[in-house]
Amino acid sequence: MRQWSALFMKDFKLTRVVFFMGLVMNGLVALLTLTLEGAANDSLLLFVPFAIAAGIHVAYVPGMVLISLKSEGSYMSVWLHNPQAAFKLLLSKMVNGLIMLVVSLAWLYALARLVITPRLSLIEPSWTDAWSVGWFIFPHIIWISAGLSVLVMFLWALHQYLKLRIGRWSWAVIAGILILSGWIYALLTTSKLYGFVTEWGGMTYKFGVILPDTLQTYTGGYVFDFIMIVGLFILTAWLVDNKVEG
Amino acid sequence: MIQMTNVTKEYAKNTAIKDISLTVPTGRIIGIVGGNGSGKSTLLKLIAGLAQPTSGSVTVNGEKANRRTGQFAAYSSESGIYYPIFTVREAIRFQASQFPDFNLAKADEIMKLMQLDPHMKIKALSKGNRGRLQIMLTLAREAPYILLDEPLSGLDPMVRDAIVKGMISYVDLSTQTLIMTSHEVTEIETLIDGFIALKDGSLHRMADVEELHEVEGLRIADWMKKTYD
Repeated sequence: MRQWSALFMKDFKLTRVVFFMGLVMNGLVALLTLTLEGAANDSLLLFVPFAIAAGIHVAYVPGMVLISLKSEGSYMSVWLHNPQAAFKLLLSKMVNGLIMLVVSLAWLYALARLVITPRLSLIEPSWTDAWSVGWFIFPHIIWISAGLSVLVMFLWALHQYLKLRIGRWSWAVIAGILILSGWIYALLTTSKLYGFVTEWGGMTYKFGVILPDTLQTYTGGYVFDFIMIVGLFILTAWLVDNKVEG
Repeated sequence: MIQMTNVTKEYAKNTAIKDISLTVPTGRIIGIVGGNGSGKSTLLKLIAGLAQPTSGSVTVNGEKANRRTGQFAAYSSESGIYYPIFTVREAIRFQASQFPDFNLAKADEIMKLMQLDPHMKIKALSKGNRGRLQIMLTLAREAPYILLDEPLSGLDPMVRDAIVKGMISYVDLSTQTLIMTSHEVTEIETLIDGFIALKDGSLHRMADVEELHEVEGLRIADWMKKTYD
């Protein structure tokens, strides 16, 4: 555990500047909200900058993981020359990104409360619905962000492997794989088979005036995504252990 | 024991190592010599498990060399790079946390010998001091194999002297084997027991230094001048 926690602290240090910059940017979003409030009459506008900022957080963990991996690229032999299994090296970066994401979202939530609560009378009809949407969206942002971070790690590892073999064409292959996998995923998730496998454990959500349509999710869908994420993570760890060179 | 069997390593546009087979005996200091681009660093990375052969096999202590070979082999890269976010002291602590064979007391001794300031940020270190740091972090491990890639390259004579002293004082040849690459053949000749000479990625010769001196009456540099042209 001491081995991994030291790795975790090192990974935190590699990305902490970006993390703190993100927190400052959340503060700027709060300032923007106050400016918008003064400029417009629509009270729902209060939610817009916060909603956009929360949405952008989908890219948070993949972004942090990529920054961390890019830093490691400069010390590749140091990073790879480590007795710990690759899955531990990668997990450290992912957990770092996830913790930073949760802190950043919590900070954004706190700022939103701070800005909106004194003006509650302006948005009272939307208040409860907005927070319900928030509680639905935040875990999904974390979920999607975690999944995308594994994809980023996989593509990075593949690029590291390919660049020593095919040189600059590696980027073209990575772009091709990204487009192809997106297309296959879209094809798969719209197929009857996917529906048959995943459409169980249904849950419906209603959010009143904010989102008039009923949302439906399936436990089967989450299980499917989880299996895909774990599978891709294992493949990435194998690539780093056996194919990436320092 | 390190064993290489018909090892070839190809990159996108060139072949770095061509069909090399050799066995590195334990308890010795071995120098890997050769011109620029002869494959010295690649050979060391293959032993460290940081590069994989395109064909053939590399084994360290009977196990296929891969990234986890780091358990048996302490490797120091040519570039002298280390995480700039750390101070010298933090780098020692980090290295100690990762490698169970890292000897903290030994690291402290080498740090003093190399005159490194433990509170100094690595990003603020000069090239020479980064070289010393790398050597310190590598020699403080009590791994069976110590692999040093160009430890003397681009360093001033004082730093070279400190590094050579470190290699002599802190490598225990009863339990450790030191393999290093170097352009500075003259400088390492007095240190090494044997040498592996590479030419254009192929094994040119593997021999004892003493044998070369006694049988052919030549120093390595002279022998290289004679046979490489």
